[in-house]
Amino acid sequence: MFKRLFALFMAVMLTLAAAGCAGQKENETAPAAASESTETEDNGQDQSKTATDVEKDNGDMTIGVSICSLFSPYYVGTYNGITATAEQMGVELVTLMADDDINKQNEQMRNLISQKVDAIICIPLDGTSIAVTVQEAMDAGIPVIMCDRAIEGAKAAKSVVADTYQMGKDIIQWFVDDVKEEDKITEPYQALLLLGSLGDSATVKLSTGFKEVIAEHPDIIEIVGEVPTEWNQETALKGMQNWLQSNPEINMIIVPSDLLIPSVQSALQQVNRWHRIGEEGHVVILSSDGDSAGMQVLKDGYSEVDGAFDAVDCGVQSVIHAVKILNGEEEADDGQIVYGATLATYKNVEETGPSIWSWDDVE
Amino acid sequence: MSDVILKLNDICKSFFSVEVLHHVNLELRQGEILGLVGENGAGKSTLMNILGGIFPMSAGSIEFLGEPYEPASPKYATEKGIAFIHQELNLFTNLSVAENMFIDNFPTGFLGRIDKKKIRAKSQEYIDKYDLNVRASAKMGNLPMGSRQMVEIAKALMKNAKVIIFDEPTTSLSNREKEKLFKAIRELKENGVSIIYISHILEDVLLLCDRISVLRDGKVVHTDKRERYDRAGLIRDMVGRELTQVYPSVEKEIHDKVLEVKDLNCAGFVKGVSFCLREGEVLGLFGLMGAGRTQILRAVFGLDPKESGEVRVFGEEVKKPSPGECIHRGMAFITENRREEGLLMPRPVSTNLLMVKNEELAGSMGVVDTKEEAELCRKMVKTLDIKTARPDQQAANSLSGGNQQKVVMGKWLLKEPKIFLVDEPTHGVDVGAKYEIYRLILNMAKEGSAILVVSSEMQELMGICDRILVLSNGRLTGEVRKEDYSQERIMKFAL
Amino acid sequence: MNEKLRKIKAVVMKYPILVFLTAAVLVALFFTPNFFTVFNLKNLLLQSTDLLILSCGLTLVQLNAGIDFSITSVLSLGSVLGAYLMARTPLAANPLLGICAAVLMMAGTGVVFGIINGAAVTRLKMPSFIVTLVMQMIGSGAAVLFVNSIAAEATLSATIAGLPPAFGVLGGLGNWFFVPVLIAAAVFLFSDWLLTKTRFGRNVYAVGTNARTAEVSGIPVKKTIFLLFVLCGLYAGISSILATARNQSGIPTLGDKMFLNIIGAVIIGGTSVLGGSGGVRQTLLGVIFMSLMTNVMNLMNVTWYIILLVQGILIFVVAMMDYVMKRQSAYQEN
Repeated sequence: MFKRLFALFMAVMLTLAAAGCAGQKENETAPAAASESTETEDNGQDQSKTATDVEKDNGDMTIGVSICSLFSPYYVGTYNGITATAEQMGVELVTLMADDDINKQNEQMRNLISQKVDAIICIPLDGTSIAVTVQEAMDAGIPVIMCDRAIEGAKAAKSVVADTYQMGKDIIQWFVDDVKEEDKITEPYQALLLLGSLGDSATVKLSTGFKEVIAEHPDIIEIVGEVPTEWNQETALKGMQNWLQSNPEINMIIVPSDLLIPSVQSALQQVNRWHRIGEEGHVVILSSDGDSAGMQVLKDGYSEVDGAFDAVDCGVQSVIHAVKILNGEEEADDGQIVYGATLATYKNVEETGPSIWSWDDVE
Repeated sequence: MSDVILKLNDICKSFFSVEVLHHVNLELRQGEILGLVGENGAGKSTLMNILGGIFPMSAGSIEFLGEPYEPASPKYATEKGIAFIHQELNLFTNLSVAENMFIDNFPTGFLGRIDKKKIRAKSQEYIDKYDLNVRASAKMGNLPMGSRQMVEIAKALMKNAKVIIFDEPTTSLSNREKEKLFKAIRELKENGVSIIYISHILEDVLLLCDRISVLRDGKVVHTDKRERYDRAGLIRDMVGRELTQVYPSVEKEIHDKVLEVKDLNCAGFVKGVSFCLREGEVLGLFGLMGAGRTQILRAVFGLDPKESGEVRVFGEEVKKPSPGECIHRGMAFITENRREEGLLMPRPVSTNLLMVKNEELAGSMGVVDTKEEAELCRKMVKTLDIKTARPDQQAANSLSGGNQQKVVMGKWLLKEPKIFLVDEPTHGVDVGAKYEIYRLILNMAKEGSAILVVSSEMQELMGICDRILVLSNGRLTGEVRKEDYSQERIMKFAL
Repeated sequence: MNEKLRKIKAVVMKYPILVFLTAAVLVALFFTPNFFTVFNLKNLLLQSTDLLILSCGLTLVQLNAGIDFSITSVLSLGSVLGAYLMARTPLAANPLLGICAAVLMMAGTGVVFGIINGAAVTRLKMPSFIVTLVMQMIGSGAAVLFVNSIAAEATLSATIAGLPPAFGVLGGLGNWFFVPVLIAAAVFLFSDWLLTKTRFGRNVYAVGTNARTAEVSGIPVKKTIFLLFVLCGLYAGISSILATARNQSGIPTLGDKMFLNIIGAVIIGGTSVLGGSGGVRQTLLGVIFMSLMTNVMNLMNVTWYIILLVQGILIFVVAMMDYVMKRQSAYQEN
């Protein structure tokens, strides 16, 4: 019995050690930064011993990055923007991912505060519940830059945001205008509205924007049903299948993120309605995010519009403004900085395409 | 002298450095019925398990039909021709007779599909051959125990067993079924099958076997022809001492009624039963399997619902009997199944002893006093002479059957109830411990308790009870007073 | 010397989790020296309070071989209901009253869930697996729907904010760090006392070992099991209070992903899934281990999925060991 326990002991040790080695991220600066900045209380500002000494004025800054998750390729783009800019500017990063859990993200924010990072860039899952820790950080003298989602209930140093509400309105408005221009409508489009996550304020605002403009044009678009997907591809697929079965008159699907485009394609292919614009049985697809899947179907002519925010730019701007604040060049005044967005449509995809962040992955 | 077909040489077996079998030597002759007797814990089951390939021996060798026999698995044993009829039959109650017979040997058709027709036909063959009196399609679970056993035997014979080992085969059988079993065994003998018959019912062993071996503490004490043995002699060898008086005699007085049952009815099992129990009395309840004895006890104690009937304890009616309520009124129930209903097997002896007393012990906030608990345990262990070195650490499942039963009794005794309902008090208990338990029961009666004993061993009841009630098919068919005790009279009421 | 060795052996046999714990601490020593800093340990402590309370509750239920999936939805439903009371009803004007009402509401939600679970299991004889799973679905669905229905009027957000700052005390914000720690400690100590020193505790272990024997011995089996579920629900309600306070908002998805950690802590701690053995002391060690492991692996920058994998493997191994040991001892009865 005792022997067995000892064997177990060794097994656990080995597992944890192996996990430690195997799981360490490729990013060499991250672990180095982590161990440095957590050494003792007063070591926060000093000696950076890493190899990326290339840089200039900002060699001794450490910025904490709190991301809700990297499930969406969009945030992958943003994160790439952050890391690239940070490297260029010679700033070190400590990144924590929250697996889309609000509670966890708050914990991680507090973790960063304890690590006494110089500034924090935060991509929250939800703008209101992150308020408490953002406030704590600001009170502790650590400026917080909100990235992509605004804060509600507290003041951040700056917010680099996308106006999803506006985007929602713009997408529908563009479609309405396009329809009127082409004059190809006899009766309202029967639309199936996919919803993201009910706990995700940005997407909730997007849907609100959709619904507002749709309500203004009941002769153009009618919402037949809604599918809450919680950003889960399976759930989306099943929901769409059910709706397409019971309501075959659906001829339009409004997608809150390109993350769900593969599911849309699957669902339509199953009922044999995956057709290009102009072909018989085509289903109108309106989407946003601008990731490679979405841009691909746009380019291939299956969807009408992909509202793309410049994910990378969001990240880049966040780092730039963080550094500016730390350097004293800017005030931490809770100002809003809107980052770029483009409406890529089936009509202008060739021109707008190359400026979209995911274009390199599109064939 | 016929040939020796099975020879066990110097078999030794140890479990975690405790030696359970010491140099056991045993011989089985062609066409004989060898009886194997011994107390619980003497090593009979262990020996048979080794023979059957369930676990290996630590030392020694076995020869079967002149060749070395090294059982590595039960399948090996079966293939060689040694079959077991275990105490708990290895049958699947939800499958049919036919399916059970072919369970490890399904004739398959195309692509491995089971050929149901073939099974049914073949099993019918065997049913006719052994005169089993069952339908091939009957579900095993619906058959009475005796018939199930017959099917098990048929299964063994189908595999051309040359040796069949019976382990306590009659514990769940009625007398009629027992007769049938013996007849079948004798027939097997005539057909050349050799048999090892293990049982603690000495009368049966003396009746059936050609030779008898007695096992005691892991050794074979004596092997001899049946004629040279008698019951007292067997007991002497098993236990190692002369037991002149198997049942203790105690002077006691019987007083007023403490328990009255009127017109008890339980769906299908008990019909209109009425009786009463007096202070200082030991009342026996006898009947064959299925007569409804256990059901009566369970209904009175509130474990199973009753359809109608009145139960009065110390003159007051118990409207909605439940175990808690009955215990509160001074009743105790020692079930026949101590493993599943009497003990917490993995827990220590002390925990078990305190289970019922617990309700009373705890203080105002429900806090327990460990010192008081330990003291009570210590006293009870001493009083009952429970063989355990560390009652607060030794788990119940490591005790012998007799000691386990003592723990169950101790548990109830701590509460000092006045009325005891006891179901099969010496089930699975060896001869020595049996005596102690009888003495305990009689002393309790002497101290003023009233005891209702249910047992399938008539002798036992005749030995300790003041009266015996006989049950047949759910009805009380008769009452026999101590003066009038005779096996025939009691059995007459039971049949 | 031998005496000491034997004593150590006995302790290890009773709490096999200590093996894991030592291993984890040693790994921490080797790979992440920064582990042993004040702020990190303080963080670790705060993060464990929820887990401890929830795990104690689950331990109670598991001692009877049951399970309670609904605790995570008590967290979320309680969170939004309580937040609503404090921030969106007239009670918002009187923070103290609002907080009291919210505390009652959140604890109450837990108790209600516990009552429903307990009643279904004892009266309707349904397996706890199904009942609590259904309650979990109902609860988390209700939480999201509730927020959605009221959110439409106020802001566009999907959580409920605007809680009175004083509420943060219960979450350990600011200088009130010790408050949730004290609450968690109180819950733990109460549970331990309940299990080891009271008649009820004895009954729990008896019922968990063999309910039939317990019934014959006069122990009120149904009442005991019912109470276990109620307590578990109550504890979940208390956790809801602490977690909501820590995040200063009512979150409909609170606790969604926590279940693995909770049951992991209970199983690794050593409470048997088959019931009848274990206790909150073992669970405490299990909680420390789980938090420690996550903390250490975070500091080592291990990716999230590897953490999940390692946790899953460890839980599986411990559960297997427990099962095998139980079977062995049953075999030895021969």
